[in-house]
Amino acid sequence: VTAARRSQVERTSWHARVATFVGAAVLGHLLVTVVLCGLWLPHAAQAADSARSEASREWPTVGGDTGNSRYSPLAQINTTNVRRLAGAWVHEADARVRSAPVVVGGVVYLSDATAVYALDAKNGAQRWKHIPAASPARGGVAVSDGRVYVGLANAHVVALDARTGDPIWTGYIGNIPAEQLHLQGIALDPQVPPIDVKAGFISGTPSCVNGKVIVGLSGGDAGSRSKIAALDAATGKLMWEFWVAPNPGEPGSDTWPDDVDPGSLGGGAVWTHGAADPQLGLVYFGTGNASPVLGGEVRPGDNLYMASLVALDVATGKLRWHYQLARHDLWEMDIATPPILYDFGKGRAARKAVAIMRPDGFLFAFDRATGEPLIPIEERKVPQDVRMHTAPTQPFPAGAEQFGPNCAERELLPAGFEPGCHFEPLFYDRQNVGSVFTNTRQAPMSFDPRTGLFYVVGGASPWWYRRVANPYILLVSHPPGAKEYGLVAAIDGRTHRIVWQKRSPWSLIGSSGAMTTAGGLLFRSEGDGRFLAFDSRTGEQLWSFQTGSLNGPIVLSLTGGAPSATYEVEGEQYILVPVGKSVWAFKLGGMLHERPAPPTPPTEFGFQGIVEALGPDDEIGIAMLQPTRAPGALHYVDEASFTPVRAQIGVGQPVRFMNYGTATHTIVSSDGAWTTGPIAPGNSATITISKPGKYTFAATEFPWSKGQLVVQ
Amino acid sequence: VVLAVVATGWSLSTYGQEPAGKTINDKVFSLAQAARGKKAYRAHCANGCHLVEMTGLERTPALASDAFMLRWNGQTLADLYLRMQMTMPQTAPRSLPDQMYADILAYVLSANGLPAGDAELAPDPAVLKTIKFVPPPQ
Repeated sequence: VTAARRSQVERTSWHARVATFVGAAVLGHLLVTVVLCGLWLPHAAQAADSARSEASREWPTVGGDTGNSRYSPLAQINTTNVRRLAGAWVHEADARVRSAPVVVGGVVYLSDATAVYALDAKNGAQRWKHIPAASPARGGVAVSDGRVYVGLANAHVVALDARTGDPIWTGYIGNIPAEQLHLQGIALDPQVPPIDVKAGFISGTPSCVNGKVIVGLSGGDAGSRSKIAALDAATGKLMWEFWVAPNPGEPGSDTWPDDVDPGSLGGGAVWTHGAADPQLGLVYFGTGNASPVLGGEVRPGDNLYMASLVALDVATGKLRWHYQLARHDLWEMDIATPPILYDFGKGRAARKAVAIMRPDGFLFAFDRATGEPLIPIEERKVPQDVRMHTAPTQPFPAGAEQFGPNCAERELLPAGFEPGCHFEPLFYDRQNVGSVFTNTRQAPMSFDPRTGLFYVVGGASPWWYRRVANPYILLVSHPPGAKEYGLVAAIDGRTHRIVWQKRSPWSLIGSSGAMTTAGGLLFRSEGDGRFLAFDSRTGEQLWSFQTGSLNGPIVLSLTGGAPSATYEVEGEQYILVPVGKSVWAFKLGGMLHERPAPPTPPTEFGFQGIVEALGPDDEIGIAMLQPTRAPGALHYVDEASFTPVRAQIGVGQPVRFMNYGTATHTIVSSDGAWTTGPIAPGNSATITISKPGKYTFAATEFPWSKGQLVVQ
Repeated sequence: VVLAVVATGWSLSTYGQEPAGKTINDKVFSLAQAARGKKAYRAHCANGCHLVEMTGLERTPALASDAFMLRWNGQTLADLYLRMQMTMPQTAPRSLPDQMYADILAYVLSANGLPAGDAELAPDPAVLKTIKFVPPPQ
């Protein structure tokens, strides 16, 4: 079948469907949001539970609906009977599932890092599995018009037949010619990167709206130019591209230096799926941090459209309106929690709204047609650093409460670290700052239209961001010994004040997020392998189920996870959640019981990075920072650093510490077992350790910066 | 029936009736293999993803870390080998030679401070299945 013939066949089938749906509407059937790539229909918003459509009994998008409410009107499972919830079926995928499931027509569609799966929603039996050429995007799949759409790590989008899993078309949104991607896997010279990261990759789920498959491109942190792209749902042909960094001379380019082509710097990665309003013909996406991440000195200005919410015309890709949530981003302010479309207020005064979360925990609300703020925005002064060209003020929703801490709590930080705060610039003259860069990100929120509450999942996890004089280079880790915690909150949709808030031992940043139901329940996963249900009004825990698997690792901790879903098949409501490789479905009176708990994850960070086996000629450099230890990589003098941070020697093998700094340093083992004595600049000291073990060491002049010596 | 099978599985592992296996502490790779793995790692894994220092990024886990060792604790080298093969590099899973996956695995172990010896990791899941991740000796 030629492409032209195929597209004709598609058009015919669309017309048939339009006729069916219009007929249904004329007959007065109530339709909740109809999610189709092919068409949109006016919907009866807030339909009474008694008049639910097929769509609302299932989970037609990863966000539950085109507006990402992650709310279901199903109420069979509710606060009074949730204790009887148990496993109905479990399906083991080939790899850890990170995607949210979609449930359409009695079939569950989801993906892991190897394949796209279709499972029978009633019993978990695998209908088909499709293994694409590259890993499916983390976000998961979109299902519409009998097709499954999935983005891939090689910047391709594939359309599959929803019945068989057979490919229908392959589209491409990458930044280099697709045929050049095949160079990978050949070059083995470390000096020649075999994968051109400038191509970008797809991380989010496509949005299907009005005949288009719309998806973002990630990779901006590695220098790829980020975009939101639309493909023709019928053919996979590229229809339009919206560049997150504008072309020179275009609107927004005046927020960059005159001598900088904004697109050349990368940044603005589109990490997650958008929300779609088919009636307004608009899609809403959050954009990622500016690049170089901490290198604000090379890009004076606000740097549009980084760290922004953008509303794009579905038909043309033209920017209808935007709001930049962090000006001149210096804090890795990815806007990467999916936006939610909802009604702000009740009755005739209700406004069609879009809510968007900033990673520091402030929730913003806008009229989604015009971009007018519905919670007034006030400008607040923020810490300044003239070297970094900080913006004098940043926007804040007036009266809103912040989700999570504004500064890292001291009890989370190892001794000697200073608490870092949101919107506080970092520079290389302050290296001992433990920052809470993101209180919530990636983990999807939920909005319950019955209560008007948003549900937010995240926490606090101190990061150790360090930079050097070169603005393009930074080091990211967690300080060894730092602690983290998780938070869940219900936020009032009119005032953005916190109604209730609960703490968890494990960070929930990047976790399964929240899901709510008309049964008065809030579902989320826990960092120790449990899946939990709460009373959504009070936050009281009502049910817990140990799946036996751990999620993550998503960031550097172990608590990431896949979002959940709920649906009804043959009169029974199911709750679905992937945990690790296991895809669990729960129902009332299910026969599958809890599994033994996995090892309890730590709540304190250990060392990260390569343990370098030291040869006779090797040394540990004091006051030396080598951000990329590749051949030819540059060294930087930083008094409070070691290279390597982690080293391994044999028992009795001499190890030399060389001081490259400008001050005298004394290295001591934290257990007091050994010391180098004072080492003057340009000098070295050699020690020998006779007892095997893992030794943590530091210089007495900067005791907060730790190194590790493994003696075997 | 299902419960019985599960119970048998537990008792087998509990009472050590499985073939006597090794652990990652038993010098299961050589320095030469780790060096080959290092070259392949830098070419296929480090660039923009897991990074040369194996500290990872926002969406890529650190491969040299206490958290990484905990995440694989109790599983076998075959689990990690097959996982690498099936999913990496993400732009072209399964595209590297089997030997190269085994070499990269050796380098990841060495980067976590595990001891090298004379043996090499074989690119064979049946063999790798006999080598278990365990917590580091104190």
